[in-house]
Amino acid sequence: MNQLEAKVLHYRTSGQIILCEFETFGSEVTAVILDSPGELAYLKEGNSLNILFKETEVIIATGEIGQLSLNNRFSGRITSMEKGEIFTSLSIDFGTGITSVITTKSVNRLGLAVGTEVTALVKANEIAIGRRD
Amino acid sequence: MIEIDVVKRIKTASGEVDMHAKVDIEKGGFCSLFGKSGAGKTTVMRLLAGLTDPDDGIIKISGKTWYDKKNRINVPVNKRKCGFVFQDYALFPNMTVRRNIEYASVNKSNVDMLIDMVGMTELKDRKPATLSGGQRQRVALARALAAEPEILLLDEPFAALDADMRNTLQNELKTIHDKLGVTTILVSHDKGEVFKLTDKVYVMDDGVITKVGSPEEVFTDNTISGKFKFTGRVLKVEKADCLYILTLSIGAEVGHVVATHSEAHDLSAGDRVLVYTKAFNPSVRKI
Repeated sequence: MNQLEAKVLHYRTSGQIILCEFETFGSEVTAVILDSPGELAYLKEGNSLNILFKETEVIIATGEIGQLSLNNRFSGRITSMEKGEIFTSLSIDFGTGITSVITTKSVNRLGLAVGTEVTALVKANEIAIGRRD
Repeated sequence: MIEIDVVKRIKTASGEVDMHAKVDIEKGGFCSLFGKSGAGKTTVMRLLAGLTDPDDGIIKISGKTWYDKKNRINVPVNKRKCGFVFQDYALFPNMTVRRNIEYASVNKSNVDMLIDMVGMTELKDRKPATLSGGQRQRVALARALAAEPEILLLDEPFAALDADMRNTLQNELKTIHDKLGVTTILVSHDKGEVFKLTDKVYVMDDGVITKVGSPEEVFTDNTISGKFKFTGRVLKVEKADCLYILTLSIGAEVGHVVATHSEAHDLSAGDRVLVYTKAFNPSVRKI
C-alpha cells in the first residue's frame, strides 16, 4: 500500500460521496470516498492525513500525455526496479517515494529502466484516506 | 467476574492526576490495558495485586471483595490470588527451573504438567542464569500459573524479547490461556499483541480509560476510511512473482488477496489483518 502524507485543501459532498482535494509533496490529488464527513473527524481543511492506494492500481505513462480523465498525476523518476516473470515493481520518486506494480510486458514495451522519467497515474476512486497517528 | 473501580492520585508526565480505572472482565476472559508509558497501566496492576492502595473504590474478584474503601476491606498482598509476570523475569537465581515453579505451586502434582506446557521439560534442571530471555519468561509464566491464581497479571511480559521470540511466546500464551481459562489482564503498548491475544482492550491516557471495546472496535474504526473493510486471519503467505498471495479467512469464508512486499513482508500465518478496499471496487451479482 502506498501511503503519503497529504494536506486537505477542500472537500464537497453529494449524499454519502465525498470528493476531496489534497496537496502532497507539491502535487494535487483528488479522491472520492464513500463516507460521511461527520464520521471522519480528521477530514478537515488544513489537516494532515494519509492518502493510501494500492501499488497495483498505479498506472505508468512516459512522454507527453494526451487527454486523459485521470486527475492524479505524479511526475518523477524510476529509482529502482524489481523485475519478475509477469510483474515488475517500480519505485518512483516525485519528491517522495511511491511504488507501482505493472506487467513486465509493459515495462519492456515502454522501455522503462532506472532513471526513466515517468508519470504515475491513479484514479480518484482508488485513493483511500486514513488518520495519521 | 472481575470488577475494578478504583481512584488513585498518581504522578504522570503531565503532572498529578486522579487515575480512575473501571474495568470489568468476564471469568476466563483475556483483556488488555493499552497506552503510553506513564498512562497508569502498571498502577492498575499494582492496585489489583495489593502492592499499592487506592484512594477510593472497590475491587471484587469472582464474588470476593479484595478492596472496599467504604467497608474498610483490604485483603493483604499474600492473600490475594494474583499471578504476576513482569518484563524482568524475577526468578530465584539459586533454584532450578523446576524448583522455581514448585516453590510457588499450590498443587505439586501439576508442576511437571506446567513445565511441559511451557516447553521447558528438557531444561527443567537448569538455573535461570543459563537460560535465554524467552526461556526465563516461560518459567516465569509457569511459576505464575503454578500458584493457581484467580487472576493472571502480565505487565509487558515480552517487551524485552526480540520480535521472533515475542511472536512465539504470544502464540504459546494464547494456547495456554485457551486451555486453562485463567482470567488474564495484559499491560501492553503493542497493538499487534493486543489484537493477537486479547478480546477486550481498555485504552488508558493520563490515568483515565478513554476507550473500551474489542481490539477491532478500538483500533480499526476510522483509522482508514472505507465502507468495505473486514478483519481476517492470515492462513497462508505465498510468494508469486514479485508479489504475494495471501490466503485469508474472513468470517466463515476463505479468500485470496494479492499483496505487495510492503503489505506482506511482516505477515505470517495466524496474524490478524484488516482487509479493506474502496467501496467502488467490489462488483455484485444476484445469486
